Amino acid sequence: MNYSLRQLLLVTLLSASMLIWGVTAYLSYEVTRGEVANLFDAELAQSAKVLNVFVESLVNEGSLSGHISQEQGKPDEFFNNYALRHQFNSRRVFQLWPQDDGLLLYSENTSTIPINEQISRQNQTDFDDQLWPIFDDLLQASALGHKYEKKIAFQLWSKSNGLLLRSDSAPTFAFSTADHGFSETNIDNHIWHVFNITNSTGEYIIRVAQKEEIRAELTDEISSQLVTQFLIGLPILGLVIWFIVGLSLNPINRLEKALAMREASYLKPLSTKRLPNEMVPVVNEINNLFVQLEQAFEHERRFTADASHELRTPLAGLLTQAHVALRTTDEEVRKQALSRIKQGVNRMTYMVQQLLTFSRIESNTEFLTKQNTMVSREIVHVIADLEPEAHKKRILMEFAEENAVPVIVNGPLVAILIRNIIDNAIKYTPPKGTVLITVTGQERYLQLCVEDSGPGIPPEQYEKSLERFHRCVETANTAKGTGLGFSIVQRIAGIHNADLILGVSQFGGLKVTVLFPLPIRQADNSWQKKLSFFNLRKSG
Amino acid sequence: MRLLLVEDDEILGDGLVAGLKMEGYAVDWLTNGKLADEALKLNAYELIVLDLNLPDMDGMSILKALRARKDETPVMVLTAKDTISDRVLGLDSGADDFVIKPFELDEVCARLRALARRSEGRSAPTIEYKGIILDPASRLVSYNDEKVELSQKEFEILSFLMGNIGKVVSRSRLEESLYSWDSDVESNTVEVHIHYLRKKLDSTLIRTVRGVGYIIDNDDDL
Repeated sequence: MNYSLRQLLLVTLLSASMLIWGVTAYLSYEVTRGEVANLFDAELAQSAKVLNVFVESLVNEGSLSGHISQEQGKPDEFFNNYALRHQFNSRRVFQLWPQDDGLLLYSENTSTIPINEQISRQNQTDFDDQLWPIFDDLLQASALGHKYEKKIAFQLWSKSNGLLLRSDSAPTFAFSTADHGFSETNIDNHIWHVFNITNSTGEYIIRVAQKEEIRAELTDEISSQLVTQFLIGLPILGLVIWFIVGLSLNPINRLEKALAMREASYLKPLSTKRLPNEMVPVVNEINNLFVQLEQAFEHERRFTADASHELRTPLAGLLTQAHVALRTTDEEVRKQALSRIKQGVNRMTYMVQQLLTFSRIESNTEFLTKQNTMVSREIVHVIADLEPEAHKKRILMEFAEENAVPVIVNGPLVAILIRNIIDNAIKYTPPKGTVLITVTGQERYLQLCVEDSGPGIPPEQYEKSLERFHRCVETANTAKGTGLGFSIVQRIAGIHNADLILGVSQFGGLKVTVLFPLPIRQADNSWQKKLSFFNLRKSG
Repeated sequence: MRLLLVEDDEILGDGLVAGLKMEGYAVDWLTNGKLADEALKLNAYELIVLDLNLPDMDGMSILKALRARKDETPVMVLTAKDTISDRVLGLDSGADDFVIKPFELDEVCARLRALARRSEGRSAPTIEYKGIILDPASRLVSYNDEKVELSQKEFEILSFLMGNIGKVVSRSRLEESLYSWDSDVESNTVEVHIHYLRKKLDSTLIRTVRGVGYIIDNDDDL
């Protein structure tokens, strides 16, 4: 299946970024939430302590007693008015009602002035002067008036007199039953975080509470900011990745263009200049392939050239003889010319067959399958075919086999190989000569040997005689070969990884040896077992 | 006209020998390059037909050796290679003509006639002298616009002498041009043919140079 590297990289890199970001975002969300909770808890505690100090001082001064319950309506009313006016920007409200001095109230900084004035107008006591700076300091320290200024409700409980004071947002019942420390409570489906503190005398309990939503709001704000940043960043990241990947893939595009522009026959190596290191091996491999292709093409070109060369001469002979036969008035000359034509046609037929064999070896898939084959069986077939020809020349043909084992070869191909070698031997062996064929199983290979009593080939010409269309000078006129036989033999031997060795036979002629490698030992053993089984059955 | 054919293919060589003999050439045929080289050193030929792909010594080497010996005998090269570079190489090596296999025998013969003509310094296809018109292509001779019937050997001798007007041609040279190795030469046949030629044509045409040979005198030089 094909896919775009650019798309793949884009998708994977983006997904990976998203995943990593998601995990990081989740972790930082968790951490932030914890930190926010801690921060708020601390402030809750601080506020409670501030109030406690305040209450303590009031208690010390004796200005705080337990009889304010009958007046509760009044401050509420006032505070309601105030709260209505300032709800918009005052989320934190304190409500403090000392019995003697009436309403003592504080809200956030921005609202201190009107409230102050209000208070000043109502009450011009020294008490105010003492209180406000403390509040100011404390409240500034806890950074009130900020966006996230907390909605804090508080209650002042007297153990003997019940609720003494409360903020507007606080209910009239106790936030918590605890006297000290943190606790949580659920009121009207709202979770409140409560901090309780009891004053030193143990008479008064201050309960400062804060709604969970405030905290959630802050953490939500932080996380939504994170998400927003990412949503804005994602397309930008995508674009950047797309661009960078495109830039990095440029060499591939250049390579593709360079390859597309090529003619099939143009196989000069590609340049590795300006290529990234990762692509150099690829281009080197392509260049290697080009070299091999070039060699194969050259091979083919030479073969065609050789073949046409080899066909032209006999054709010229045929044409010339035909001319002679047509023109001559001498019946004897005509007869000879016609017999020459027949001879030439036979020779060319053989040559064309050899050429076809040669090209079929290259292209035909039927020659690719290899299986266990008894080479000696193929030899017997070939000898049976060629025997009449040998008999004509009174050539003695002998076949001997020793330790013959099957080899993994392509039967038809090996038959062609054997036929060519034996045919060659018969062709070049003079009448009444000998052709000896032996098959010997050796440790690592099966040896096929064809020896003749012909003129042989001088050792210095062994290599040349394997070339296509080479015909040995000394024998060229006596035997009508095509010069293709040994090329075919060599090619087939090559296909089977078999070695082809030329030498001098015991009769002084040519000795052709082909060494077929045996299958690996394991296969060898199994075959021997099968064979012994077969032999046992036969003998039993 | 004596011609050396060097061709290692048996059927082609055999066909060429038969075809060229029909054209009146005395053909010697060799299949081995080295032997051909030796034969060219020892014998005089009017024409050489040379294959390039030969055992022992290739045609190009024979040609180079021939030209190195200052032998100007016209050489026609037979080749199976049809690339231009091969032909250029051959012509540069001293070949006078190139024929690519397979070829028509007629074409080879026509080209050989042209080669012979050029080597005799003529450009016209026919030789005309003192009312005798000799056409090597059709092998016809007329004298004073009348057709003259000549035997093959008579024609050969006449065309050889007419190709060398004003030069003495030795008897042995004439014999060589008439007979290839495989034919028997009778010692007086040249005289017999000359005799008939004198009878059929102008009796004063061919002059005997005693002990040397024969000449057709060039009257223009007188």
